[in-house]
Amino acid sequence: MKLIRRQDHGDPARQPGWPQALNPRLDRRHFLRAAGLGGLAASVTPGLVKESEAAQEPGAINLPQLEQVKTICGNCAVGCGFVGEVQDGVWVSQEPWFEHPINLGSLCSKGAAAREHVISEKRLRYPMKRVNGQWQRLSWDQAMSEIVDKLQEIREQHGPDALMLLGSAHHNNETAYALRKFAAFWGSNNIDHQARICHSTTVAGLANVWGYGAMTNSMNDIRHSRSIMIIGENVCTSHPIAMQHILTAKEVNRAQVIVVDPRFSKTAAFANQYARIRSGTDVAFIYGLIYIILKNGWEDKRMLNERTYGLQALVDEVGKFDPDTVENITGVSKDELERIARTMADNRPGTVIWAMGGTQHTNGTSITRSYCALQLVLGNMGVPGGGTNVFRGHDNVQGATDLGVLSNTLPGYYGLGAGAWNHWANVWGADVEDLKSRFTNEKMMQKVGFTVARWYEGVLLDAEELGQDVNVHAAFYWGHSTNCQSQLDRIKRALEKVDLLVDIDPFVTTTSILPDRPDGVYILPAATVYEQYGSVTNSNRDIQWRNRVVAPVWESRSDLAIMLDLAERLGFKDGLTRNTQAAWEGVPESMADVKELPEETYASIIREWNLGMRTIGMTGQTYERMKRQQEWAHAFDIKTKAAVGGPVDGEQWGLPWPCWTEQHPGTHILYRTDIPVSQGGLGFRARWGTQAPDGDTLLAANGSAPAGSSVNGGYAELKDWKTDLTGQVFADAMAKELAPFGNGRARFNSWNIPDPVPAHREPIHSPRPDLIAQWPTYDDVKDHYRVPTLFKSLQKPDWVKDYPIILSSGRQVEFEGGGNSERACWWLVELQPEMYVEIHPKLANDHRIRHGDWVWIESPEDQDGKPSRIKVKAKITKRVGPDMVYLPFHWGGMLEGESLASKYPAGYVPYGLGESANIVTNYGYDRVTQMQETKTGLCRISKA
Amino acid sequence: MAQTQVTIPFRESEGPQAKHAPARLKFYVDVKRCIECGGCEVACKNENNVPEGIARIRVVTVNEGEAGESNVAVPCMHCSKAPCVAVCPVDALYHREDGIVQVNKETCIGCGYCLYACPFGAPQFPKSSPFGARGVMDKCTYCAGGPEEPFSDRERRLYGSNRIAEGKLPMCASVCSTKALVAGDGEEVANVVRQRMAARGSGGGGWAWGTAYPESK
Amino acid sequence: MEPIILWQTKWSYSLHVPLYLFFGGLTSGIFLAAVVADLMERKWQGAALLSKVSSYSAIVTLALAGFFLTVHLGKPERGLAFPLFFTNYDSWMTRGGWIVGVGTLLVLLYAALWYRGGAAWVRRLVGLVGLPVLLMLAVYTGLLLSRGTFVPLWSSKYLPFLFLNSGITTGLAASGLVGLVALWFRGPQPQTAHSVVRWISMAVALFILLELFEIYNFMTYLAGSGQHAPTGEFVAPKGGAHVYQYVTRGALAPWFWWGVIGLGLTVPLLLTLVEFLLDCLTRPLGWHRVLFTVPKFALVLLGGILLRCVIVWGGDLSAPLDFPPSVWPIPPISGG
Repeated sequence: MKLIRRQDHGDPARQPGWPQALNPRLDRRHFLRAAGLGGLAASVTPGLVKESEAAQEPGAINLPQLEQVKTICGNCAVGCGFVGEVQDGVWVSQEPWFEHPINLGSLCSKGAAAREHVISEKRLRYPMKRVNGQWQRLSWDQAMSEIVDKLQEIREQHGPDALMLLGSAHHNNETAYALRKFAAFWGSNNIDHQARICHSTTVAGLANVWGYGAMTNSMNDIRHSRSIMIIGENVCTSHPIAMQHILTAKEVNRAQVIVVDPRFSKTAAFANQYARIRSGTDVAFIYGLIYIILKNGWEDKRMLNERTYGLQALVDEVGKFDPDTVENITGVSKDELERIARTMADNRPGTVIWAMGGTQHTNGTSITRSYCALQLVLGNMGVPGGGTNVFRGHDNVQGATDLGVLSNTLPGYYGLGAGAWNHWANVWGADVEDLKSRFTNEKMMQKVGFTVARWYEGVLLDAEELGQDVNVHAAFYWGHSTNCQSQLDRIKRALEKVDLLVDIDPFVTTTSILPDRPDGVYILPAATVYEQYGSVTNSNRDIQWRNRVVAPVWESRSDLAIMLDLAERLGFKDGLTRNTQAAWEGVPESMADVKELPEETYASIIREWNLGMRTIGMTGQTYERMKRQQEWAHAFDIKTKAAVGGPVDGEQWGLPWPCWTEQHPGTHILYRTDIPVSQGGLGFRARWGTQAPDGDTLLAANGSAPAGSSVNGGYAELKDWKTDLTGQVFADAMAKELAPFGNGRARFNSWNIPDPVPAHREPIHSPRPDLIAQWPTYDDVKDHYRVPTLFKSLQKPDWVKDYPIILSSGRQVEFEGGGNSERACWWLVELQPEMYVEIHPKLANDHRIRHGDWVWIESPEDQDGKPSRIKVKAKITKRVGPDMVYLPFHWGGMLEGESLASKYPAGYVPYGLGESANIVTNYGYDRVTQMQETKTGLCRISKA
Repeated sequence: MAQTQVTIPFRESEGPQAKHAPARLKFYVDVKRCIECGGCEVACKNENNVPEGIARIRVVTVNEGEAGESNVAVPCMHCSKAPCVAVCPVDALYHREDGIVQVNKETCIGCGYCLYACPFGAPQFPKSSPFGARGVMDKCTYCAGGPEEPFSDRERRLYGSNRIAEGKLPMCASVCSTKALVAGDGEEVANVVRQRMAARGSGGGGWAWGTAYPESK
Repeated sequence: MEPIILWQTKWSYSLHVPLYLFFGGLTSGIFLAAVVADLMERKWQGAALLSKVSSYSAIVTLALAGFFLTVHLGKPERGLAFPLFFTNYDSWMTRGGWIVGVGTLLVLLYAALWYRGGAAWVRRLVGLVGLPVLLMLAVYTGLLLSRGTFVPLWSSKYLPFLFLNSGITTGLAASGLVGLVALWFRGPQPQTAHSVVRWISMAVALFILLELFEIYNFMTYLAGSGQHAPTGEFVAPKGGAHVYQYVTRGALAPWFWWGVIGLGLTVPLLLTLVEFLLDCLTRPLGWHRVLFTVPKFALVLLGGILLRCVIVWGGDLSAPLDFPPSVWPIPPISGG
């Protein structure tokens, strides 16, 4: 309830009861300004009647005076801004932030519900622990000492690798960085986060093509595109605000929107062309396009000759994918294929957008690389309107990935080798030997750890089968949902078996209530993203400062406070909170009862990662520059994201990395050579040396270099560019207009990973036995992120006889990830109250299923001889084809038809409960990154 | 005082009074842009603390899953010739000078006549029980509150927020993901729509085209 | 782009509105029967008694109508004080409220005149003066709905006549029922007592035929929508066809065919036919007649309720938007 100062009680003009006269100062132009429409938004402030005017006029309407806090939405990687209105420390309402260059004031249902994350009745208020099957409240001190005691006990018995840390893509940059550092000081690489199951294949794929594994252009930049291929992504549902830019391109540029998806999604409804493709056959499809492009001579020869390597290898592989073969594999007809290829060739620059539909497959790293190949062949790289626009998931998954909350690298993609450890020890002011002593041994210090996709096998399998000597005995779910991971019934068993399970989250999640166990589970209330300071990196690589709207409510504590408390009790807080230059400011002597850290602590952490994150140039985005951009949002142009005038003149919104120095404006569009490096220009990264194993050069051709380059052609990466902490290397590079990472060629042939040239392989659970023989999956891997991963031994051609229906899963717009926050929000649950399965009318009628009937979905994998299955309601729709069903994956709180509501602590049952799709999603993992194959599996359905 | 006749305030489009000509506020839903993100629905509930079960604005999808799938947000359209105003027996519904249709919850008797006169289903009733106690009508207020003192506690509780008196536009239109829901003075809204239709060419989503020009269907 | 029909469950199969419409129409018919019987007292045996009990019954039915009308409001107390609050005379709700109010006074007056006795001509004058008002009561219920111009089932000119007719049919039947009861206990001997009841039976049969004819016209008109665009249908020319499907073949079909047409109209007609055949072929029925008349009249009443239910529930199909053609359910909104 708003508290407002009252004025003018006796004024006869202001008596209630009959329509109030409209404020005469509000004319129609005033209103339009507030709509944020067109270009007007960029130049004027929102139509708020100014306070001084109101005070002067007699009988003026008094406006409520509220603190306006600019912040960034915490739901997805578009990174929309909005304003929180606070009164007396209470968040009372939200306002649009019209000048924000990315969303122009817009918000989707999740962003519009942001306030409920803080005020929800279902917010976790105090720590709880499971005792004899009941939830009991306990104090923070009690909870922390019990947890730490248990951890130390486990460490003494089994070593540091017995802990699995599941970190979060919702942690802001500083928290994520601190968490990775925490894991290093703890002594284990068993730390990972949601990127693993989201875009890990994109990161690995793209990095292995041209050096960096991130979105190359931006969502705003799509306004320059003339063709837009959206493949394996449903923009309307997953990134609604991005549709603003896509539809503008469609209307203003007459851009051709091509949607390729197994479902006729909401985005497909806006497409000029739609192709229904069998899930997992993207490589065949893309190669079919490339086949047609090369046959007709539509390729960009200059790009291919000057800046790529391995074209012949690609051509050889593409040769296998003539349009007939492609039609057989993908289901896309020859005409459609031809039409799409022609459209993209005729309408350049074009961009390719993808998300989970492309990444969540066993050959995900091949699929993502094939998208790169298409764009290279078309010459759409390094130009406005082109690029591979990877739409990432959570609000800071890009940041958490960059800052290394991953089991295969330290922050900044340095990897885990000796060089990486030396660099970071240098940054942290720590002794490498000291760090080494914390690990089990040097080998484990340099070995990639478990991933969030398969860590539970570390609990369930015998230790001899693992890539480490001990089982996992403790798991920390820190801002992480369990119901997003496939094989959920196996995860349930693992959660029951571990000695210690700690769930740190603002809400009670499926993790805490899924396992049947009497004790050993702790729930710790964390503050939401809106209650913490920090910067976040969106999908565009923009780093935005998020102001904290209100202080942590109830007994919740910020993630950093919890982390430092743990570190203090474990004895390495000092090492954690300092670096070679200084200690973090604002860190109290004792973390007991400390709910949050002040803004200067986060600023200190930014200075630390500015120091160390050299590989991707996260060196120029200082705390001061971030805060300044927030005040000058109105100076940024919507189409180019560049500021015009003011102290931010020339800067790119968000200073997207690489931002080499404090004078650098950020790199909006990667790999563009028409501007100098000091303005954001780049060639491809010369990551693999100057020469390939077969002798061909890996450096860009003569004449191909960013404008103004002092070397007019390719060059190797500069000496010490990754490890020089003084900044001199970068400064010199800018002066000479050289990219620190060199000027190389993009590779079609990535010889260092399986399937050097991207290859089509049938999904493990493929509905086409004939194609399995021709395009089989990989061989099994014995030590794959410390677990054995099955491929070929699991793939059975005759599964499809008993499980004839393709199973796929995906998003709903109202929910995100595990849905534990959103399903505790009444406004969102009102829009989507139930879990369901999408079934085509023909399939439904064949099984005598009517709209609204209960249906069993059964998976081929079983647990101890019992098939995994879920009971959901049928939604009959023509969105899916007659050979496939589709499940949203955000649900939890029901298991095999039984409600789990009684397992929640009293008063914390979410408004929305439903079956988790991941009980039935099948076993399948990417060969390179262990990404889960949840986009294509097999199942059977029956009426319940 | 019954306001069944629409009074269009006199407007001078040129001249020194132009800046202060009263606005006539409208909604427009651009069906070529609405993506059913639910932002308007939730923003309205957030901003106005709407009672449970009431959806002051709803998004409707037609042709789900097929070519021609379209979404449209349906708030109260604040019609110039509002059927609800015409049929309300107690004159609880009225037009403001700026065209916004509001209900006076004190006067409303909950008969439901406005509900079945309205083509959009905008009037809604928070309670429904076997004995017919419906409560009084609640509907989209264009974020202009109601006939109470602006920003008062009473106004907030009965009607929700009053953004118009602050010089702001309704929350739904302010946060629309794709700027599909356009709100503001009728002339300005028409200008925006005109620009979009011109950019899109034929089939650009002009409403009632087929009804107005049946031969060209 | 063709206009579409949207589905809005406003009424959720509730009963208040149908019941209030039903009792309103019933009162009109009962009052009509009372007045006519009053005037024909000399020609029809038992007519006076029938008129008297009918006028008492009219109070009950009107009270019931008022009850359902009042409780379906969100603020019943304001509804009762309608002369103070109902200010919009363009609205049929207001006009109807006054009709109900004035009608109540007239019905009370008429019944009081029967109760206290007194000059018959005064009473008959009151009856004749009141008759148009009470008939208007039945008509207005149809006019009320027909202002819902965006509801295809309601937005036609057939509804007022149908409701008037149905009101008369049901009113006559109710009158016949209460008359029968009264005549059984208090009336002249069985032999002659049925004269008035026989007249009522014939009148009911006649009005049933008329009602069947009207329903037929109404449905044909709906089915043929799309060829013409009368009032209210300009935004959805096919709306009538949609609702015709819904009523005659959709979820409402059983209610419509078995309930309204079958039990409510056809079976009574058949019963009447058999009854009169028996009358002609055998000797006039004695007390056996009640085996026909009681079920017949009861079914007519049932049919009247079901007719109102079907009409009101069919109002769920409304036609607001000009859009590509489709029928798709949208989330229900509260009300009714």
